[in-house]
Amino acid sequence: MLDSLNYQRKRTKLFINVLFLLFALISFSSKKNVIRKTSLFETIMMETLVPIQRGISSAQFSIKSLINNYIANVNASKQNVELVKKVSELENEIFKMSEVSLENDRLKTLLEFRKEIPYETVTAQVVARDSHSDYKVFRINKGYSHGIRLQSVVVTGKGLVGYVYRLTDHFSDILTIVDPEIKIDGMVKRIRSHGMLEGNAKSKMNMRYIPKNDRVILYDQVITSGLGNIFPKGLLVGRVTKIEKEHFGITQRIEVTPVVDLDKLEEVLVLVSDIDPVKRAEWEVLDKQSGVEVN
Amino acid sequence: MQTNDLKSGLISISLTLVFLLITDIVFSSLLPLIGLGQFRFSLHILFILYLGLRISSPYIAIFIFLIEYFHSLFTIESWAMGTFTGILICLLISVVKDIIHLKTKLMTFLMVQLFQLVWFVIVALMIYLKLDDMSYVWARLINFIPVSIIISFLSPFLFPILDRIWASRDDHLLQDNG
Repeated sequence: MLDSLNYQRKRTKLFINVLFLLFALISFSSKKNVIRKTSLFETIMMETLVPIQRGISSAQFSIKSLINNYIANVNASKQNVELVKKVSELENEIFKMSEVSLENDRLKTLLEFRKEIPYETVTAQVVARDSHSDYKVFRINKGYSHGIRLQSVVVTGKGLVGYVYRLTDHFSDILTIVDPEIKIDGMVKRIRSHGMLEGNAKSKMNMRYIPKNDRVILYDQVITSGLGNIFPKGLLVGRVTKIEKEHFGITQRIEVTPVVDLDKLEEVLVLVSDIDPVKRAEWEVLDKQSGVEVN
Repeated sequence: MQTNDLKSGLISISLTLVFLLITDIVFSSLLPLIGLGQFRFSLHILFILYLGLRISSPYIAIFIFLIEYFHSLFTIESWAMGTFTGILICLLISVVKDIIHLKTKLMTFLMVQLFQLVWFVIVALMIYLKLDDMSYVWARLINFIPVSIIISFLSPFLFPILDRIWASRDDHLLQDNG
């Protein structure tokens, strides 16, 4: 009797183990991209739990503020932070203007004009980071109800940060540009050379498919090219910090360091895109064909 | 401890999940607060190792899935990799259970460290198969070493708490015939 019960237990255990092993393996291997639609249960859990993370993070800001503004330097430190932020925003505006000016010159010679995609921004605070230090992923305190959607682009005054890969009504999870799951079509601003940016293990990015003959130099700026339907054109991604040219092959390997310090982010801007409805319809058809479901 | 009854197991796993959620929330928010953002970690591996080392139940795979699913709310790493790895580790533990005992804190530390290494090897293999890039594996190894030592240090203190949750009183590895 006991043997029979034990045998039955063993069979049940084996069956459940194999079932879940297969289930997990299939899920892991079939995951094509990192974008996630949250289920109702996940939404409820995150909306309940993330405010606690936000509360703890708020304590961090308060303590920092106390130390910086009252113990270290009264007022001077606060003013300095505001001025640095303002300078950064103005530098970004100037950068975008010069990029628009260059683009106008090219379009005039071709007798063809493109509309720059208009967008609004939503300011958000970083409330938590991924529970594993291996991943450069963080959570912000704005979500669907603030106009954010999956794959909404996230920037700061300095440059590109990443995009939204998961969200609920009030919170969003951001995948940063140094994660290997993210691919960005970029170009070297000075020589207009296109390449593909992807994160590497050193929290920087590799830029591939740059022809070997293109004269990239150290500290060249790399910007988004606008291809790929996710990132608008002209956003500053980083600067070239390493160039490797192989003896054989037709391309060179370039390492790009992000301009944004992703470990010290506290506030970000999320681009709430208000795009041409015709273009949106085109993108939705393309996304459906490639099997990507995006809101 | 033998948990044949799924209902009693669900009560214990619910308490374990609450424990997991608290630790995940605190570590993902508090460690950056005190300047240790580079060493963020989660205790989900420890909870799964506890299940493998201390609990005998035909539903252990379900418990592992639940732990990983709730943990996935706080990380980009989805539940699949952790579930797969956790079940494999628990199967391995059930094979070698006769030669493992957790009588002392030192043994608990060593066993948890050993199985964390095995966990890392499995995860590294899966990452390599997915990304085809060894540099990520080396980067993870550098992060893994200090974090795993911390988790192993915590294990002799957390296991008694989990013993209370799961009503497990044995210091030896359970007498599991399954």
